[in-house]
Amino acid sequence: MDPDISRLEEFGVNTELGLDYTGGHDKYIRALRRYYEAYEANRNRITTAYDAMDLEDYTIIVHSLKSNSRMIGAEELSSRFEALEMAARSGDTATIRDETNVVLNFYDALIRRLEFIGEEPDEETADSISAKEASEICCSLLEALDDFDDETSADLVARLSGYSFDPSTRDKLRQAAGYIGEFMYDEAADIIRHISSDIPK
Amino acid sequence: MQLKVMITGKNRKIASDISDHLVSDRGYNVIKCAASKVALFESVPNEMPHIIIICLGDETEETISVFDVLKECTRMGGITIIVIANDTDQALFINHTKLERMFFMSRPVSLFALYEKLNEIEKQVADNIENGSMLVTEYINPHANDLPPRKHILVVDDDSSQLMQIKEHLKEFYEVTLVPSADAALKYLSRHVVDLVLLDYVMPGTNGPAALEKIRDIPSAKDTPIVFLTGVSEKDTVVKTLVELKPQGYIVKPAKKSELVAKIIDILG
Repeated sequence: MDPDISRLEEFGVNTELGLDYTGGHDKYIRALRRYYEAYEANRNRITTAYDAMDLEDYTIIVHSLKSNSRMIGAEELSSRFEALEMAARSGDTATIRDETNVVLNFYDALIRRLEFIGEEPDEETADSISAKEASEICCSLLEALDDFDDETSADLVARLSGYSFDPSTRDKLRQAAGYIGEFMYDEAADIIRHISSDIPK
Repeated sequence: MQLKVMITGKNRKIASDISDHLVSDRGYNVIKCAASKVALFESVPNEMPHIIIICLGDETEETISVFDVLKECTRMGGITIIVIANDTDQALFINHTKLERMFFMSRPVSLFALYEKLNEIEKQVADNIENGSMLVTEYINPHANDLPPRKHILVVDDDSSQLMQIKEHLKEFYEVTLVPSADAALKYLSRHVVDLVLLDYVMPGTNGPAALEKIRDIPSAKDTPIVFLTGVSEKDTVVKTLVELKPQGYIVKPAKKSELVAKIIDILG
């Protein structure tokens, strides 16, 4: 069922702006999903940087959330992240201490409103493949990762899931797929090398 | 059958007259579009007209060049371009745009000739529907073998959401490679040549300005155009670096598709 984005407008999200930035309804939904799925990691990163008063990392993450919030039309939240960014850049730790939790509460509230977006539909189950095919795919996948080819890498890792890996290897493969989705090619390649060495020749 | 026609061009009088005739005589759905790169680039993919009628009027090389954006839009196929122009503007259009197939009509416009052409196009579109083929016609291109490959853009940003969004905007028209850091970009550029780099200004580790200098040290990349991606709050800082670092410009994130592509077209053509 198509998510009803008009719900966000009640929360002050400018969905028209979001549609404009992302280029259409389906793309906007995908952007909202990405925003929603990145929430936990982003929030953890802010609190970790805040606790350590690591202003450099703090700046980078609030800077990123400023743009991404704006991209989905969450203008108010974007402005709040921008204020935190300005404070961090100028070393204004007082403002950071006073305002970080306020902004995080606002962020939490928006994410609760995004729960209706739902999860990405499950990928289709890959065709079953042999050990030989799995090895070949691993080689091709390592080449694609070395070449920063995100699309080919994503296709190949999906095909690789057709091999009968044990549950823990399957988890690692899912982790590799996640890394590819985040363009963390080196991290994905490390996992694939490890998996490849476990495939019987 | 109701064709969808887009009318654009500086000659508003002719554009308006033709538009009125097409609506009243033929019952067409007529969309008017300003003759600017951004307006055309946004409108054509959204509206997907069957025909674009360009009404030229006392053009210059600069005003003519806006229509180059149609080259990428019409790669999708199925859009017929009809240009209404005097001899001078027609010559300017042929010599200074990169469009490869179009029909010319001189002024004053013969409605009879225009309607004959439209009948031909209507029949083509109707045949496609009847035969169950896709509602696009093959774009006849006598220079098909000479077509250059798509331009290749490298996007460098530590924010995966931004990378994905930029690729969504560009992949229709360009080959796009995404990397999450300056180090990855340098590794990629040491092995590949790209046509343009979109480079995030604020990144952990090696930031945008430092990355730009390192890219310039790579022999095969020293002349590659680089455009900074910047958040609105550091725009002023980026502007100050323009003189020193000489990137080919900057784009403020988040960037709309039309802004992004217009900037790239400005640099790459």
